[in-house]
Order: sequence, then C-alpha cells, then structure tokens
Amino acid sequence: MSRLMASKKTVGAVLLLISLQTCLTGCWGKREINEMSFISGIGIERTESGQVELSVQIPLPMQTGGGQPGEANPGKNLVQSAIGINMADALSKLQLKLSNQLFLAHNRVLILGERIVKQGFREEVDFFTSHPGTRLRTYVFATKGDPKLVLGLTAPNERSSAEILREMAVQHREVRGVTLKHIIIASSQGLGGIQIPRIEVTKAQPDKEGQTQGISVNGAVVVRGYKQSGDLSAQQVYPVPWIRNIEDSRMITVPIRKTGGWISFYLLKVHTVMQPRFQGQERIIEFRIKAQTNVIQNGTVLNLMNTDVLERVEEELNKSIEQQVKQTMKAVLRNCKTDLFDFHDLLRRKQPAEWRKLQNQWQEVLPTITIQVSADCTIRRSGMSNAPIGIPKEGVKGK
Amino acid sequence: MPKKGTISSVQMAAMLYFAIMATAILGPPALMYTFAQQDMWISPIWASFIGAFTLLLVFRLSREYPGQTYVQICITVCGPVLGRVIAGVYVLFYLHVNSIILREFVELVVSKFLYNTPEMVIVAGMMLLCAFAVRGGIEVLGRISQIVLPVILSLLFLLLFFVIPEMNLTFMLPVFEDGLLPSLKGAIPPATWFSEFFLLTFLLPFVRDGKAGKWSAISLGAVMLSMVIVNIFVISLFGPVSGSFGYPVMTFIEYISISNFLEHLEAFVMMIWVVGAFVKISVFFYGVVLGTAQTFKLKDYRPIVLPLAGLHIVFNYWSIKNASMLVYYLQKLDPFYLVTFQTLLPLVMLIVVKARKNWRKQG
Amino acid sequence: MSGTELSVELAHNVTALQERLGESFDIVFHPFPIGGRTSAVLIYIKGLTDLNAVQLHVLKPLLLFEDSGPESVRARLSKIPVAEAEALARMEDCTEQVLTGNPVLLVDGCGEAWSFGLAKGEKRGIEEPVAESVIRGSREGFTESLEVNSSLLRRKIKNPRLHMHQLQLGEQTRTPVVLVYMQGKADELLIREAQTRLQRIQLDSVLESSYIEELIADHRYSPFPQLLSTERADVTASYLLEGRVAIMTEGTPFVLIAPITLVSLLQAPDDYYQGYMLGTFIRIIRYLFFALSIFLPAVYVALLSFHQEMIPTILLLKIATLREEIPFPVIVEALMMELMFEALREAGLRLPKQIGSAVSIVGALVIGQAAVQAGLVSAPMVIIVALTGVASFMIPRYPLSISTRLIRIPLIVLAGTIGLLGVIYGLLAVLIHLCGLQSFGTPYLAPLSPASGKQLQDTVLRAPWWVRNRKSR
Repeated sequence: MSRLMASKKTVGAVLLLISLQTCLTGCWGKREINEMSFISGIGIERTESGQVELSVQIPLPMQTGGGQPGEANPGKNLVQSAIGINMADALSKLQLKLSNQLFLAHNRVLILGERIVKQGFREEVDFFTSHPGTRLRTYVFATKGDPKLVLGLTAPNERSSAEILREMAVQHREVRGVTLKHIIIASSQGLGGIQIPRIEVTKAQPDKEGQTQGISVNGAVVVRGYKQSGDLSAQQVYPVPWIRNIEDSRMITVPIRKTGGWISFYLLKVHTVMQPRFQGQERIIEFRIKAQTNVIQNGTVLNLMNTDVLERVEEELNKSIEQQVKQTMKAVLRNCKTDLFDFHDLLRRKQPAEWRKLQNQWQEVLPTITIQVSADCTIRRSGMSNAPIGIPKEGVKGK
Repeated sequence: MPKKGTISSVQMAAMLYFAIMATAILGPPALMYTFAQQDMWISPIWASFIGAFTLLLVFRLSREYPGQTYVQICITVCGPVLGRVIAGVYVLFYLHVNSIILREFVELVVSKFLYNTPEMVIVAGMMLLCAFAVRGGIEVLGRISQIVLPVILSLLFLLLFFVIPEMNLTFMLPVFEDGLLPSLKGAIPPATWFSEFFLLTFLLPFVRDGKAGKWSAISLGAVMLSMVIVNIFVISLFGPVSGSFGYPVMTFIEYISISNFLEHLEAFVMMIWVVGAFVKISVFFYGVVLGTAQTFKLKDYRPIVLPLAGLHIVFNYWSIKNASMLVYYLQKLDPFYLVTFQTLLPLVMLIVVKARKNWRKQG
Repeated sequence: MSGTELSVELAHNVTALQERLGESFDIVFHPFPIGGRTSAVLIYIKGLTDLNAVQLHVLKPLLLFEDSGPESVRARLSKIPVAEAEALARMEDCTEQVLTGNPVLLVDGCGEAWSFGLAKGEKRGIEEPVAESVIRGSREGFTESLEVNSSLLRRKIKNPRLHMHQLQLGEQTRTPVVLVYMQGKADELLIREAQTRLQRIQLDSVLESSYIEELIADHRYSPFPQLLSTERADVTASYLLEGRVAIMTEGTPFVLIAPITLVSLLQAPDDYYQGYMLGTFIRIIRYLFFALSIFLPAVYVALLSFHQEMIPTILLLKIATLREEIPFPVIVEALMMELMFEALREAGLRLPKQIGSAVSIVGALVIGQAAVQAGLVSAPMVIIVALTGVASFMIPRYPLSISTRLIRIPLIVLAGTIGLLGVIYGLLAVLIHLCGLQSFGTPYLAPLSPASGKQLQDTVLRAPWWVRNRKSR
C-alpha cells in the first residue's frame, strides 16, 4: 500500500514539475534558429592603433524562391567587421550591427591578418579557448593582407570561402590543417613552433575584373609563441609532412642527371626517425627517412624494369629527398630560428643529461644544430608500362 | 517495496563505478597533469591502493559487525551518545560532499551548455530525480545503474574510438623523467575519488549473494583502468596543455569530428554523463538518507528523503561560492578532507574495535 | 450459499420464477404435459437455446412417455440423452441456468428442476486477429466465447497439467472468468497471488478484460501496461508454457497474461516463427524505433532550440531556410504537429474502414502538403513527426504504444524548456519509474536488470531454437 502511495506522489510530483516547466517555457537560453547568425569564418587583424578588427562571414539562409521551397541560391554570404579593444569587445560591437544573435559554434576557420601574425595573437587565441561556444578544431590560416578580402570572396563551387578553406584543411591534414589545438600545444612551453598555412587571393583569370577569384595556399608562416618568426616558401613547406610522419606531400619529381629528364614518384609511405647526437659542441640530429614509392611518370629513356637501373634511380630519389629536407631544415633553423619539429622534446627523451645543460639557452642552440639526412627509398612498382612509351627499342637504356 | 531490499553484487559494483567515475572524468585529469605531467596515466594506479585499502577496511569492519553500515557500527562501538555524534558528523560529511558534487554537476552544465538557464531549475530537477530514485529504494538504484552502465560505457568508448587518429603517443614519453615522485604526487587528487569506495559500507548490508568481495575488486579495477585510459587519451591529445582545460574530457570530445559531419558532440556526451552524475549523486544521497535514518533509529527513511533533498540544494549554494573556489577546493582541500573521513577515521575505528576485542579476550 | 428452495407445487414455482426473470419477450415458459398427465413447464430463452435439440431429446421423449407418478418421471428424466443434465433445488440456480441459455424443466410434484446443457449462443467464427497480424504463424484468434477460447488452448497444449479455474465476476453481469496456468511450470506463489487478486475484485460489471486488468495490476499510477492482452491463441499458449498465467474473460477475445516485462511487450510472435537471424534483426530494429518513438521529437526540439552546434552546418542552414517563414517557435510547432497526428490517428481508428482511408488522405494532403506550403509547419518537423508515428506503429503491443505517446509530449515540453538536459531528466524519471515497477512480483525490466544471462539470449537477440533448447541439439 505504501508503495502505491509512493508512486502516486511520484507521478504527482512529475506532473507538477512538467506543468511548472510549461509555465516557464520560452525563456532560459532558448534560441530559435531563425534569429541566429551562424558564423562560418572569422578573420582577425590588428589595426594601426593596436586594436583588433574582427570580421565574420555569415552564410545567409537560402532564400525561399517562388516555386520550390528551399531551392538553393548559393554563395550568399554576409561579411561584417567591427573594431574593438580585444576579441570580446569587437564581438559585442559586431553584435550591435546585426539583428540576429551571433553564434560561434559553427565557425571552422580562423584567418589571421598579416599584421596580427607579425605582432602576436596570444590574447586572441585565449578568447577561443575561454569561450564555451568555440572549438579547438578551428583551422587557422594566415593571409597576406586583409582577412576581410578572403572572407568576402565568392566561391563558384562552394558555399563560401570558409568552406573552401575548411575542405583544403581537411584534405591536407598537416600542411594546411593546422588547428588551434596544434598552435596551443606548440606554443605552450615557449620552445616549439608551428607553421600556419599562408593563403593568397589569386585571380584565376586576371582580365575579368576579379570575377573568378580563387584562394590558393602558398607556403607557410612559421610561428613561435603566437608570433611570426619567419616564412617558409611552398617548396620549403613541402617536406614537412615527411618529417612529421604524416601522409601528405605525396608527389615528388626527381631529375635524373645521367640521362636527363624527370621521373615522378608517388610516395606510398614515408617514415622518418630522428636521432639526436649531442656531445659538447657537436650538435647533430640525424634524420633517417624510409619511403616506399610508385613511379607514376617516367620522362626518361630508362627501362625501370631493370633492377640495376632501378637502384640508380632510387639513389637519385634519395638524394633529392635528402636535399629537400635539408633545405627546409636550413630555413627552419637558420632563418626562422624555430624548433618546428620539437627537437627539444626529442632531446629531453633521448639525451636528458644534454637537455638539462642546454635547456636555458635552447634558442641560441637551435641555429647551431647540424642536420644529417639519410633517405632510403624503395620503388615498389614502376608504373603500368614495362618500358618507356614511344621510344624506339634502341633508345631505351638498361634493357 | 520490502524494507530490506537486496541487490546483486554486480549492481553494487556498477553503483560504485558510477559513484566514482562520474565526476572523476571531469577535473582530475587536469589536476593529475599539474602534478605528474606525462606520467599522469600512472597516477591512478598508485591512487588505487587507497581504494583497495578503503575497501579492505569496509570488509574488515563488516566482518566484525555483519549487516551493519558504518553509521550503525559507530553507534554500536562508541555507545548511543558519542556514537550518534560521530554518526551525525558522518551524515553531515556526506551531505557536504554530495552538495559539492551537485555543485560540480551544475557548474559544468551551466558553464558549458545552458548559460542562461536558472541554476535552481537544474539543481532542483536533479535532486528531485535523485529523491525519486532513493525513495524507490536500493533496488531501484541498483537496477538503474546496472541497466545504464553498459549503455553509457559502450557509447563513450565508441566516441573515444573516433579520437584515436588524433592521438600522439609521444606526448607520453619520457616515462618517469623525474623518477617516481611526480606520478606519486599526481596520485593525490584521484585518491580523493578512490577513497569514495567507502560508500560500499552503505551498500554491503544489502548484498546477499556472497560475491561482494570479488565484484568490489572488479569495480576498483574498472575505475582504475578507466582513469588510466582517460588519462592516456588526455595526455596524448593535449600533451603539454593537458592541464589548462577545466574539463579535458569535454574538450577532447569537442575535438571529435566524425567524417567532418558530426561535430560538437559535447551536448550529446553531457546527456550521457548526466545519467552518470545522477547515479553518483543518488548513491551519495542514499548514504546520507540511510545514515540519517540509522542515526535516529527511524523505521522508514522515506519521509526524510524530500527534506534532505532540499537541504542538499541549500548546501550546494552555501558551500561553494564560485567556480574558482570549486577548483581550489577540489585541488587543495578535498584530498585530505575525503581521505581523512573515508579512510583514516575508519582505520582508527577498526583499530579501536580490534583492540577492544583483544582486551576483552585477555580480560 | 443458501437460497430459496423450490417448492413442490409447479404453479408456485412458475410464478416465483416469472417474478424473478421478469417480463421479457425472449423468455419462454412452455407448459406441456409429461405423458399426458403430469404438467410440466419448460423455461428457455429464445436464441440462446438449441430448440431442435430440445424438441428432439427433451420434449419428444417426455411427451411420449408413459407416466406413472413423480418417481417414474424422475427416473425417465435421468435417462434423457443430454450430456450436461443437472438437477436443481434452488430458485437461484434455475434463473442462472436459464440466463446462461440452458433450458430448465419444472415438473409438478417434484421439489426439483432439471436443466439441460443445450445452450447455443450465436458465436463468431474463429478469425485472424486484426490488431496482431503476423506474416507467418497461426491465424487463430480468440473469440468472445469462453468455451471456444479454452478449446483453442486445449488444442494447442494437450497436457493434463493445463489447468483452468473458473470464477464469476461482476455483481450484475456474472461474467465467467477463467484463470489458466500450467501446473508445475507456473510458480505456485504466482498462481495463488493471481487467484487472491481475482477474488478480491468487487465490480458491478465486467464487460471487457480491461476492467480486471486495472484492478489486479500492481501499480495503479503508471502509464505502462502491466498485463499483456492478446487475441492470439498461440501467444497465450507460449506464455503459459513459459510458466505465466492467463486470465480469460467471457465476452471478449482479449486474454490477459501476467506477469509481463517491458521486453515481452516488444516481442512479436513473428520473431519466433521466422528464422533466428531475421528475428534478431527485426527485434533490434524494433528496440531502436521504440526508443525513437519516445524521444525523437523531443531531441529534435532540443537540438533546434538549444544545441544548434550539434547539427551539421549545412543541414542547419537548410533547416534555417525552411523555417524562415514559420511564425512559431520549434516547440509550438512540434506540439501542434504531435496533436494533429494524434487526432488523425484517433479519427482513423474510429471511422469505418472505407472512410478511414479518406481521413488519412486528407490528413496527408492537408497537414503534410498544404501546411508546409502555407508556412505553418516546416518540412523537417513533418518528417520527424511522421517518423515518430511510424516508429510507434512498430510496437507490437498497442497499449505500449499508447504509453510512448503519453511520455512523448511531456518530453517535448521539457526539451523546449531546458534542452537535452530536460530530455535526459525526463528519460531518467521514466527509467526510475520502470525500475520500481513490478508485474505480479516480477521486475518490469527483467531480464535487463536485474540481469540474467540466460534470459538475455531471448531479449536483445532471438537465440536460435537449438541454443535455447538443449534437447534438440
């Protein structure tokens, strides 16, 4: 009987709760999506006076046409910007310009302007980590010039320029897909660094008044402690995935000196092992790169079915990879003076005694590090054709 | 409901698991990182010794006084007056601890999901649910935890699966860089949680299938393993910044992106987690209610459920003023506070009991 | 039980009975002389009595009988070739026999009456149950006649341990109710509990088994069905063989089965009649949609009004576009659609079949098409509500699908108030309730919790027969 009483009261209380809730419906942070503006891309730039200019891209809901409801009307985006003391201030000022409530959670792209990258953007990143609605998986790009221009770009094949950037970032995970998380981790101890892909607005067809503009990624900005420490050209950025053991930068075209011509390879798998050898003044980090490749284009007269020839070609490939990696490392260590590949972590793990000695002067040690690279590539498949096509038999070398 | 409900030892293990893990996945990973850095995943293993010790104490005490909770043991051992005072202190202690757990729950919900909802609605709703469950008796609590545990665990592990590609295990190296000390220090915050295994004292009298020992050990192992796994995920995702997020687990769930389509799953995870928090608060609440009833020798605890639920709501506002204080409390005070009450004092009690027994034998 | 004894005088008895039975056109008092000497009256009800048999086996031999005093009449009567002939001494028995349709014979000079089991009601033939159709399996459904129903069960279980206890319920209706169980399989405690609960019932009338259901359920305040009602003989038989009890009521094809669990309400006979792989698959789908039918609209409302970050951007923009011209908040839209849907469903149920389809056309056209085009509701909401409707139709037991409706609407309100937290609060409240619920002492959520590994084989999965039944390996 008492149980019946209990459940009676339970039901009564539930009903009371529900009816109370009904009375209160309508407030408490409920947001109707019609009254919201979803931000798809954010650009920040430092003004001359040291304030922050925040620009946002807001995709407009597709207009319901006369006929079919919801028929797409692509490429309609609103770009708005506001200047404030800091991010939060700029955001609240931006909100004043808009009737709808700004909503950050759908933002995926953060574009940093040229000036702010040079002067540092730590506070701005702090906004992103403190705000509950933002996300760490925000892809970060640096731009030459004003980020507003990038946001305002109309894209012929995508909804918005932010969407293009996001897709670029997703497809090339490490070179371009640098997220806020990566930046925070890399900058956390003041030792490491990270490269942020640099984008440019390009005119695909220059004569047509910027009608079909495009975005292209061109090199990277190297950042140390939320501040630009140097630049990498597109060529210098290319080997970065190899060093980081990321599956990207798959194509490599190698000149063959003996016979002339080029052979292009597709890198199936690249694996790099780094080994520090620090001893007194000798500071060496050894890179051992192992790669498996397929030939995809053979622009020489060599017959790649011949194992001797293949070995020679492999050597050329090794040399080419070594050279490219060395160039990148030179740019990173000498020009940018940035520990882009976490050598400090490496040293800490492998030679803790040396690390303790050098810990406090790491920044000075960095440029003095010698990089030794040895590549070991194997060609798994030499293309679909047995011999170079279109060359008479006599012309083919190494039958 | 029969006055003396029975739960299976599996249900008991599930309740204990929730009672500890529900909040152990919020703050502790970050706290452990601040002490142990990359060795943070080892810390729960050390801390689990506290849990094992606490469990042992509970079993020893219940062997001396079978079928009695700690509150009853207090009264039996220390006499009706002093015993009641001690028991009352324990009831207040659990009331206080539970109100702080409630605070943790509200703090997460309000700071992450429902910024504009009055806290009172969230708190009152939760306490009302817990009150219903506790009124239903230990059996209802046991059944809920048993039914919910597999669902929650499988969903969470499914989510973890999607984080695996983002993991960078080198963040875990070098192991024992500065020796054992950091990881031992890191064991201090989780020790708080492991000492909560003392709640077993309120459940043990209802377990009748004789497998309580085995299953509480399994529960302990599961908690330890879960903490280790969570810590491995946190450290290998965030590396050196693991300590800078209030709720690292929520942050890495935020980072999940399932084929670039399903993102921002934290609200979904919150939904799952609220169930865990509910069981945790309910189990603590059950301890408070049962303890109160036993202190005052009430025949039926049901009439005091709702008033005590109200008291929780009040305490939850009194005890903690703001989020920073909550963190301070959890980091600095909680370990000593909880371990003292749940491990050290029961140890003293056991020594007293044993000494008396010997004295009586000799005398 | 004492009553008025019959008197020796025929005239006295006849008036007394006429008084009791009242002036009804269908109650016939047919006087005739036995063997031309002793006067007698045959009382029967037109339509309830097999007149042919009465004429052949009762009237004819008695009219032709050579009478030689009351003793010889009595002796002759005991030789009448009717299986269920019975001597009655009390008035009450006579009226009861007459009302059940058995003709009662009063003979002058005897202090007794005789009833003959020659009742014949009009019975519906055995048909396939409408509400519980199967693709494969028996097509036999119970009818309104208790005898037919018990015969159906007997034909399925030819076992002497199948016991059927009859009792009568309802002060006015005197409806026969039968408790069926398998001796030895069903728990003794369960049988006793069921008997006491049935005997405790004090009702004026029992027209449907639901009258009984409400009175013998464990918990009065629960939206969930605590007994299973079925029209299918094979379902009843299978539950009896599992050791449960069934309660059959005269006048309704619905048989009650107890104890039940939530899981058993989600099982359909098809699960067992089709292959185990198919059975398992369908079962999992059914559980999934059962869950959806409870919280799908609530989750939609919560996502759209609180957790917009969880919706993929492109989808969100699409929904935003579609909702651009909708004047109502999501929650109002959802409640409106839910109510419309319930109204349509109810209307379709009540109307004759031919018009019922018209309603669904009007509903689909007006609500689905026109409302969306007029911008009153958004297309996604229509999809969600329709999907929920489909999901609730997948529940094999109708009472359970009613429960889901009862839970759904409060959940929508909660979702519109505090988002997903509200949904989970609501679901937890339901879970707490379910965990405390029992049906005849069996936990409602068994075997999920308290868990039983062996029974789980037949819960989430439909284990093949060769696993479930060791003998047939």
